[in-house]
Amino acid sequence: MLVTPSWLTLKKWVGMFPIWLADTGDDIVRQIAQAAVQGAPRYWLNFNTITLAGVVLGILAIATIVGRYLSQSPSPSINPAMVQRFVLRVRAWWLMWAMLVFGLLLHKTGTVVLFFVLSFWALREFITMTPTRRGDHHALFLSLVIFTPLQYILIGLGSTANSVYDYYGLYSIMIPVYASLFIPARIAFSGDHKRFLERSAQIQAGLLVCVYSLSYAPALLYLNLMQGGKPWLGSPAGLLFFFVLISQLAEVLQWSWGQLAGRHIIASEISGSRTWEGLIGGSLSTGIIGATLYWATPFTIWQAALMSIVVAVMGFAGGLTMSAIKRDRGVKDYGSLVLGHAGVLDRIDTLCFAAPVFYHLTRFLFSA
Amino acid sequence: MGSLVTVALPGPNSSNLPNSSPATSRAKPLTRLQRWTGGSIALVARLVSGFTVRWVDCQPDTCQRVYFANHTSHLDAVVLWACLPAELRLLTRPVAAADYWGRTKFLRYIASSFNAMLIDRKQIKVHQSPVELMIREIEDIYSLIVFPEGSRAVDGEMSEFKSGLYYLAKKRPDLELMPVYMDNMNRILPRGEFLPVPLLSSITIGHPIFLESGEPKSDFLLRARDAVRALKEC
Repeated sequence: MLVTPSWLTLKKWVGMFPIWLADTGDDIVRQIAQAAVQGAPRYWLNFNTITLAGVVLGILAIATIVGRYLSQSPSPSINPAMVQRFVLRVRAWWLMWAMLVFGLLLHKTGTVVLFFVLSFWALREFITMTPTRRGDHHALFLSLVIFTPLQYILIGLGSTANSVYDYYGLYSIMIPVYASLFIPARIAFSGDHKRFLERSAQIQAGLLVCVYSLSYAPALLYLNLMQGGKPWLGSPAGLLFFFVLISQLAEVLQWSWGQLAGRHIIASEISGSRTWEGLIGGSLSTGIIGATLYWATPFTIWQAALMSIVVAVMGFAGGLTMSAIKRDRGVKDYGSLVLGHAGVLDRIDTLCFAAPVFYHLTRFLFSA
Repeated sequence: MGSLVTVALPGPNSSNLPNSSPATSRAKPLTRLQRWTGGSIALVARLVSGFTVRWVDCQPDTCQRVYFANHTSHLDAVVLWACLPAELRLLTRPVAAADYWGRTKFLRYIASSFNAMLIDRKQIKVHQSPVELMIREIEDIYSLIVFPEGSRAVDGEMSEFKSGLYYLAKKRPDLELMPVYMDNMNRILPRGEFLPVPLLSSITIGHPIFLESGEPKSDFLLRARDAVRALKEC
């Protein structure tokens, strides 16, 4: 028997109350929650998810072999710098794949911790690149050490026994509202008014992109996913894997289309390789690939295609935006502050922009 | 026995070293607990400061060296020590103020585990100058980490170097003087703050300089400071 708790019943629990209150609280609410969980038996890693991870593993293996072949027997028609870039990119994907699979094996909490570490590192890179002043010290400390973990703790709290109590009401406004008010206030308390708006905006933007937006990716795991009005029996881990895979594929396809057919550069001042042809061709072909992977998601073929296109377009916007910031700060890659290779933020900028949109579309159209 | 260690082993793979100072050393070898604490301190320093190290025109080596760096943060000494390879950390001693690190037993223990050489700034006598002390303490084994500016810069601009580095170079001309530029440390833990913001920093270690024969003190100190400053750009 399935009892779907209505949004209104739950509303009073959403947000402000710590989970132990919910645990010891109203028996009826708890029974409803248990019924909802029992009514929809879900597998964390089902056959589809493992197949998807396996397919990606195979593609990565092929890409590695191709990269090795190209770098060992250079052909005159291929630019060796491009081969080098390809090899590095494949290596980054291996790392990403391994981390994601490792996180998923550790269940929801493991994945949340993994994305927390990514956010933390990305915000570090972001703040390191932006010019701050002495007066920002405390605001920066609180952003990195309090707001970043708190966002992920709130998301992870949804994973306790009664998974219907999620903290969506709080974590969806904490950074855009409370952190955004708190940061300028804290800077004002320290008494330094030089470039005040610019400095507060930098920290706010860093939190918003690196922490708030990215945190919607693991939040996918806590959705009560539905398919055609019934609870979806697939694995939410598969949906997250699908999302990450699509956003990475979109980047490659947009770049390849830009190289092959690119004529009209969108913003030559910002990026010479991002073209309208790349955006349109890459996003449409991402949609086709996304459609073929619909079996890992609660979407139908058409829905999967449309969602993939949305992810691709948002990812493109993210890459372009972060390029603009980098161009302004005069760095090529976030990682080059540190080492010769690209940083964490370079790899996840597409994820950051696509995650909130993908999450909300899924939440409002495919979840109860 | 001790002279074995001073032989310059080229390249980064010069790890064929005794793990602790040899028996001839007058300094007590670190206990296992101290080494474990030292390793943990190095790990925490790495996590907090997120540093990357670049050796420009030079390599990590076990020969005796003096690393001299710009000074902007309390963390500088520990971070610079932590960025060295593990086998060099056992042979490298940051110079620290005894009136701070000698206050309690716990602080003394922490200082000993990152190999700190405690120099008392208040009790300086004629035959007990800090430079004399350093030279005596490093014997023919240890390297040093010093901050010739003396105190931490407020706004990140380097101030004039104090003359200690010159006397060190004069009395021990065989020491390799390695300029080090530490970037972003003043944002991680600025002067007067207690809690560090874990941003990313970078440490650039450059080609060694030596005191040239007959070089005046002021010229040498300016040259040393320029060597550190030049690393900012590369």
